[in-house]
Amino acid sequence: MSTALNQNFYIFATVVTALFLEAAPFLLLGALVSSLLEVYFPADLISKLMPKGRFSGLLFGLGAGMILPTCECGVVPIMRRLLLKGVPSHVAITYMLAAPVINPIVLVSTYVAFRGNIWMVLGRAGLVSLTAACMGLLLSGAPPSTVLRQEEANRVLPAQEHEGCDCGLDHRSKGWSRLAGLLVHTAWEFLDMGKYLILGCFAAGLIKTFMSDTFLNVFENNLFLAVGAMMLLAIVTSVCSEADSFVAASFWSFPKAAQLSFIAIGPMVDLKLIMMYVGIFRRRSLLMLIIIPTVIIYVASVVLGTIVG
Amino acid sequence: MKKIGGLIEGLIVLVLGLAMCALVKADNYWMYLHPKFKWLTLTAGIVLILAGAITVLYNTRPSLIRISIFLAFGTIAIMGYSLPNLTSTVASGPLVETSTEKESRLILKNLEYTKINLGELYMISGGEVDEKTTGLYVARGIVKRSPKLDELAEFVLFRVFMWCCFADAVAVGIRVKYDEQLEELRDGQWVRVYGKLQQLPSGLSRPKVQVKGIISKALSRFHGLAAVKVEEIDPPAIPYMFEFRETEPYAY
Repeated sequence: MSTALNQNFYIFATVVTALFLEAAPFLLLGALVSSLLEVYFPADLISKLMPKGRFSGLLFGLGAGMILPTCECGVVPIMRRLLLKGVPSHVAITYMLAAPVINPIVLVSTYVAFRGNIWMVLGRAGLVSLTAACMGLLLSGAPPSTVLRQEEANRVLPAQEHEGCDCGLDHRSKGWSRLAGLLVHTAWEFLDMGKYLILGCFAAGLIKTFMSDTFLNVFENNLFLAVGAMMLLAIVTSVCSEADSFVAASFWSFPKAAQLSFIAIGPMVDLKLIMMYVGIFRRRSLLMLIIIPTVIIYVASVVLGTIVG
Repeated sequence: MKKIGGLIEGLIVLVLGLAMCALVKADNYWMYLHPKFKWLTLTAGIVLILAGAITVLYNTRPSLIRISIFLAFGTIAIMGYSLPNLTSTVASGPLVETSTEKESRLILKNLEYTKINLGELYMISGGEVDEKTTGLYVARGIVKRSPKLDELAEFVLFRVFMWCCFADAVAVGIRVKYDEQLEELRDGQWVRVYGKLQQLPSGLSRPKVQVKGIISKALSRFHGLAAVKVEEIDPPAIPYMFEFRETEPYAY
C-alpha cells in the first residue's frame, strides 16, 4: 500500500477502534442493566413502579436520566428492555434522550470545558430536556409494537419460551443458572447492540479520516449556517457526550449558539446512535427520533443565538 | 448450528475481553484512549471474559450478520494496531520516556523558562495576559508552517490533546514569532521553543492548521510566544497531552 493509503487506513482504524473502545464499557453496562431487568425483574413489577400520568411519566423519565449516568451508547439497550418490559413509551424515550446529558458527570464536564460558563450548562440541559420531553409526548401511548421493529416487538409475546427475549435461554431458572443466564444474556445483548455501534464507528471513522474542517470556516459568521454546520459535525463525528463539550469549545470562532447546538444534538442523534436506532425502531419512530430533535435543537439554537448573541 | 453459533459468539466476546485487558497492559493504550480510562477498559474486559467464557458453554441463537460485523471490526483493529504510526501528529519514538528533567524550569542564558505544555499555555493565553502570566515559557510541540505565516515570521506550534479518545482529540496550538532561521524548520518537526508569552500583531487572525484525522483545533488568537530559541527534539514517548494544570509545576 502507498504511504497515503497506509496513513488513511491507520487513521480510520485508530478512530474506529478508539470510538468502539470508548463506548464498549458503557454499552456493556447498558447490556448488563438490561439483562438484570430481563432476568430479575418481572414485567408486572416494573409496570407497578411506573407513574400512570403522562406528565409524571415525563418527569420520571427525566429524573431517571439525572440519577443514572448512562452514555448514549449504553442507554439504548436499556430503553429497548424497558419498552419490552411494558414501561410506557413516553417514559422510556424521554429517559433515553435525556440521560446521556442531564447527569452530573456530563454537566460538570460541560462547565469545565466552557470555563465556568453556567449558561452553556443550563442551555444544554434545558434544550435536551425540552427535546426529550417533546419526543416523549409525541410517542406517548404508543405500544412497543408501533415503536419497535416487528422482530423486536415480537419478543414481548407472552407465549414465547424466553420471556421478553430471544437470546435462547430460559430465564426462569434459579440460583447459579440464573446468574449464568444473566452473563450469557449480557453477552448476547452486547453483541446485538454492538453490531450497530460498530457500523456507526465505521461511518464516523470514514468521515473523520476524509473530512477537512476548512469547509466549516465558511459558515462561522452566519448564525443560521453556523448552527447547521456544527450540528452536522456533531452528528457525523459521533463524539461521546462526556467529551463533546471540549470539542465544541475548541470551535471558539463559532457563535456560542452553534457550540450549544453541537453539544445538544450529538448525544441524541449521531451516526452511532442512528445505526442503533435503525436496528430497533420502526421507520416512523426512527425518522421521528432523527428529524424532530434536529429541528427542535436547530430552531431553539437559532432563536437563542438571535436573542442572546 | 445453535451450538456452533453460541461457541463462535462466546469466543468473540471472550477474545474481545482478553484484547481489552491486554491493551491496558500494552505500551500504546494512549493511542486510542486517555490513560485515565484504563480501569474502565480493564473492568469491561474482565466482565466480557466472564460473559464470553460462559456463553461458549450455552446454546444461544447465533446471527451471521452479528458475527461478520464483529469479525470485520477485529480485522480492522488488528491491522491498524500492527501498522507503524503514520500520522504527523505522532512520530515514532522510544517507548520509555528518555527525559530525566524533573525541574519545572529550564535555564537558558541565565534566564529561567517555565516548562509548560501547549494546552496549559493556550489556557493562559486565552484569558487576560497580565504581568503575572506574561513570562518566559518553554514548550514542546510540532511545527506547522504556511506561506502566510512565513510572511509574518511565524509558525504554529501544536500538539494533540486527548479528552477521552482519539476521536475527540483536539490539536492545540500557539503562534510562535521566530525571526531567525525560520526556513530551517520543517512541517511535522518536533521542537522545543523557549520564548516570552506576549501579544502578537494581529496580522493573521486565525492561522490555519490541518491535522489529518483531527477535526477540531484550538489556536491561540491574540497571544503567542516570541521565541528566543527553537531546538529540535526527539518526539516524546507519548506525544499526546492528557493533562492541564493551572499552576506550576505544569504538566509540560
